[in-house]
Parts: sequence; C-alpha cells; structure tokens
Amino acid sequence: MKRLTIILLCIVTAIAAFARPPKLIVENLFDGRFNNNKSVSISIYKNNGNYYRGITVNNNPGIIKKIADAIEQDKPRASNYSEHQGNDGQYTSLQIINNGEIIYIGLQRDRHGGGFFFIQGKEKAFK
Amino acid sequence: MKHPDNQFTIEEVERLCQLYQDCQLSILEETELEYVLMHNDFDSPLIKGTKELMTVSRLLKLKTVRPQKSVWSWAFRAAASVAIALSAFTIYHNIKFNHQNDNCIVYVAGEKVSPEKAHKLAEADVAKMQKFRQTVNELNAQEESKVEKFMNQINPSR
Repeated sequence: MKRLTIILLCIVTAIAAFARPPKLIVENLFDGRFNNNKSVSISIYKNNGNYYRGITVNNNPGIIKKIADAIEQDKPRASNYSEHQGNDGQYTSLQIINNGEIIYIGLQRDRHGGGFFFIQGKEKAFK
Repeated sequence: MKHPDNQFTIEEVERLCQLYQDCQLSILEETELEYVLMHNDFDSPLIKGTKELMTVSRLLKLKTVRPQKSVWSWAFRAAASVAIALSAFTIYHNIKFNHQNDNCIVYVAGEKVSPEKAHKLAEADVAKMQKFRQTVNELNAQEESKVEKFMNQINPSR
C-alpha cells in the first residue's frame, strides 16, 4: 500500500512536471517593449480561467512586421493555420495546442500599416 | 540439571538462579529454570531477582527485529522526497504565476489606463477578438465550399 502510494505520488508529480508553459515567440511581444509606444494599445485580461492578450497598432508597419515575424516563427508549432484576404484586411490565424488546451493567435492587418493582434486561450494552456 | 518436573530444593533453585545471573546456563537450562520457577512457590531475594531478570529478558525477546531496509525501499523514499519537493515547487510556481499579473492591464497610446476603464477596453478587445475568430471561421467555410464546388465540377460523380 505504501509503495503504491509512493508510485502514485511519483506519477502525479511527473504529470505536473510535464505541464510546461508554451514559451511562444509571440508572447515576448508583451514583455513591455510597446507599453509606452504612442501608436499602440495593449490589453492583458484574465477572466473566468481565460487569458487574453491583445495589441492594436495604428499606422506603424514596423511593429506589424515584428508581430508578423513572431507569428511566422511560431507557425511550425501550429496545429491549424490559415491566411485570408478579407474585405477589411488580411487575416492570419494560428491554433497551438499546449497542456491539452488550444491557444488562439490572430493578426488582422489593415491597409494603413495598422492591425489587431491577439493571443487567447485557457489559463491552463499557458502554465 | 534435573528434569523440571522433579522436585527441587530451594538451595538447588538458588544455585541455579545464581548461575542464571552469572550467565552460566545454556538457553535450554534457562528455559527449564524459568519453567521450574513458574510452577513452584520458591521465594527468596535471589529467586525474586532472577524472576524479574527473566521478565525483562522475555520483554526484550518480544521486541521484533525490524527487517533491514532494502535498496528499493531507500529508492522509493528518495523518489517520494523528490516528488514532494517537485510538488511544492509546482504549487509555488503556480501561485507566483497567478499573482504575477493583475486581472486586467491596459495601455492606450503609451499610457496605462485606470482599472475601471481598463476592464471596459479589455472587454471591447475581447469582443473584437471573437469577431475576428468568427470572420476567420466564415472565411474558412467559404474556402472549403469553394474547394468542394471545384472538386464536384472536376469529378461530378462524387
């Protein structure tokens, strides 16, 4: 019985140890580098177990390029990827699975060098 | 030594008790003496002392000798210790993660906004994200529909 308890404890710990943060490149965009940029709005929001981070860029192609490059680096990890040209801009969408949860990543680029970028998923996906 | 069932005189018993206390008896003889003392009413300070010594000796024998721990046992103990340490670290890390971020932080045009305003702006952003996902789903569906239509035109029997 004692042995069984110890083995179970080891299994639980091993599972906990395997639960790792995704360490996405796009997450680095929220390291504070754009916090004081006049052309950027940033939102970080946790609610009901959901974790949302978003960046809205106004007329700053340089930042949009940085975001697009980060997405490009995370692209090989995506289980689902799509790119569309819509009426109101270009849509890039990624889905990455971590800890059994989906992380949604999206970038909508407008025609004026601006755009809207986000990372969203269950909090568990980022732990 | 006489057979335990034979009659012993008190002198003989005392002599045996003295030998017992001097550790001069064999284990078998000690057992026989114990038997004799239990079934006879001899009484003297030496006999009384021997009886007490026998009681102590019996109690010591009753204590079970614990088997020596095997290598596996020590390995399991070590694994359990590591497991407990890892669990504690994971719990600490999770608590730290949860406290690292506030529930809502918003910067607009380089300025951090107040918590009340931040919630409204963040919720608006979340709504924008949901609209994005809905649009992407619609665009994906349109693309799939186009592909299906194309495939049907190429191969009408499908």
